[in-house]
Amino acid sequence: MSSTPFDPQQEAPLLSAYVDGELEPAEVARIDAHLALMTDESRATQVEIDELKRFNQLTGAMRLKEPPAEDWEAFWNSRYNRSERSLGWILLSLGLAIIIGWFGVELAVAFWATTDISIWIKGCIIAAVAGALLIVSSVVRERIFARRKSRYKDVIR
Amino acid sequence: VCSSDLEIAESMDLPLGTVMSRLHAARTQLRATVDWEEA
Repeated sequence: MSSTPFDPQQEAPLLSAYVDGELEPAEVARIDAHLALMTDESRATQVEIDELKRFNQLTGAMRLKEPPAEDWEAFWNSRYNRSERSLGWILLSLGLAIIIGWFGVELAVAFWATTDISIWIKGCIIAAVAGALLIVSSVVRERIFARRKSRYKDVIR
Repeated sequence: VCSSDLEIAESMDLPLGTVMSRLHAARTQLRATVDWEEA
């Protein structure tokens, strides 16, 4: 059993546990002994305990309010719509990516196979296309980075 | 000791004192936030 006097400044968390009946008898005895001192500090502790008890009664009497049925319906509809649209975007993106990839390969093969264009012109066209792809990827990367780092991204318009 | 604080401490793998002080801090914060004096 601890004989150390209760220190309300350093051991304030024990007051919550005291009110909740969560303390061991030895700790309860320490706080009771402190309250029995009837000093200004112990009176302040008693006030704190009374407030905690009152607050416990108040929060204990609270009941969660169920949202109306139409709110639940709107919530589930919104979830369904979001899932449906996400799936739609995924399928669309996947389909487009495959088509563009296939078209690009076919075009590149046909371009490489043609003998109507000289090797120098082919080189220039390849350089131009590579440059355009590089610029587009750089801009897209910058936009994504700027969007993630934006200070105003959480502002609701 | 048979307490819900102890159950929390065991399930969260935290010292009992930490649970008590966090609960007290949460309650203090809630008291400061809620205008409960009028209740």
